[in-house]
Amino acid sequence: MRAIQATNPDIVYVASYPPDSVGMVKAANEIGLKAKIFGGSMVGLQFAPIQKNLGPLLNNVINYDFWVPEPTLNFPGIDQFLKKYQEAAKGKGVDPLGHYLPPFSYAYLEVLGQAVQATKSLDHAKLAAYMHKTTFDTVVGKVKFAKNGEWAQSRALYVQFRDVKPDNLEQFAGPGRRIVLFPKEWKSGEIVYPYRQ
Amino acid sequence: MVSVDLLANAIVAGLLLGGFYAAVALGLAIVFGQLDIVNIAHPALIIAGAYTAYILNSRFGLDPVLVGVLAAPVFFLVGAGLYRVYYAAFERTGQESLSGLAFFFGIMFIIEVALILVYGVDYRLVQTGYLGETLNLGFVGLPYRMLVPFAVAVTLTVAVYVYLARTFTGRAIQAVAQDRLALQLMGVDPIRIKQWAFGLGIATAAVAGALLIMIGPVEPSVGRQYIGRAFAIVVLGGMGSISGMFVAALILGVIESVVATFYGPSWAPAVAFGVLLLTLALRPAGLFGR
Repeated sequence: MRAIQATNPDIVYVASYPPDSVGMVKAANEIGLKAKIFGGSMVGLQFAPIQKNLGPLLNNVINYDFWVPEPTLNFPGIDQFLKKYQEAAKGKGVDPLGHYLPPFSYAYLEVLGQAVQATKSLDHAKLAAYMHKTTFDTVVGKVKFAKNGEWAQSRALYVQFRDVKPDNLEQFAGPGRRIVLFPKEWKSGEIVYPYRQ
Repeated sequence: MVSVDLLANAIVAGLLLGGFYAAVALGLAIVFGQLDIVNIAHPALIIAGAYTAYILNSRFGLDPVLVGVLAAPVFFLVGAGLYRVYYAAFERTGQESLSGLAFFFGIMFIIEVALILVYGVDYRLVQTGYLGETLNLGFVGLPYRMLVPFAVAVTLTVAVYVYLARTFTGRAIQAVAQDRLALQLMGVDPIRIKQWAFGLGIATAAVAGALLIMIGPVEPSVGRQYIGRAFAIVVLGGMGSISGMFVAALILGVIESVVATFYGPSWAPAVAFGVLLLTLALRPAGLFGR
């Protein structure tokens, strides 16, 4: 991190897995990284226990995410789904909030379920054809696939951590801690810029 | 041109990292270096130590270092018991080389799978007040999450060194490594001494695990990253030499840190292990080996 700081960067983009993500965020704070934007594709910063542990060190970091509890992403069914998930997650040693991957895992099954019901078939070709032409309503909003099978429109979010307090898991359960900056469709606030002066 | 403060910080960071490596390799310096037991499960036992620190820190808010010290006697007993099984099943019948290695592989997998079954594959961390702070001495920064593990590792290494050099049992451990028969002729049971030494080596894993989880998040299989490094440090230092192990750990830490700072982290392990090969080519017994 010191070597990065020595280059006097405008943007520090980190692509990392959880141990390195935690290490980079800690190191950035330890050396007082001065950059206009710090963040990127750090896996791990979406997990509630890591968020709780890092606390205010996360403030102003911009990172990718899939679902956060912002008003712009309050799709029909998501609250009930998370309530059920969080009840089931108690004492299981898994992410207690379940914001990152569980909504999309559930949405996959919603897509499959709706396709099976509509086609009244388990035939892969029929299901695929239906999935290609249909827009699905799920707990993560409307899902539409492109011709190549990928999402018709990218669903990855860029969020900025804000006003994070130390050693508090509950703060991440509600809005205001991960502001959606991108895509515009779900933007929930303005960027705080620069990261640190 | 190399920036002086960048170089100084890289060297200091390397020394701190090396101190932590010493804590990881200390148990192996006894078990592998002195007893010739290839305990490939040592890093997995360190992870068990890290989880012990995590459990007591998250439930009762205990400091990880304190947990490491409190857990060390329990780990000692586990180690002593483990050696008894190893001795009865493999060493006594002369099957320790291959079957013994498979035994410790098995222990490693059992520890990992048990941790996954109970705690899952998510990363675990500890929380203490001082871990996010940095001690600044001029332009050199010493983050407490590295400084505290370094201080504990130095204390632990010195304690083990003094114990082995100054006490009767410590000298007996060194003697059993050199000449088991001679020790037997002195009226000392070499098996009991080896059992004690093995327990001591495993006890250090409790402390090393606590230090590991202070530095970064831990999941059950993360110990595998340290297998090669820990054995390399013991070999580089000279089998069985505690001081040699410590110096080797610092050298490896400084090389990794300086190379990572100036040439990128991808080169760091390659250069560090290159130095190991070069050293062994010139000094096959290691830096402090006899």
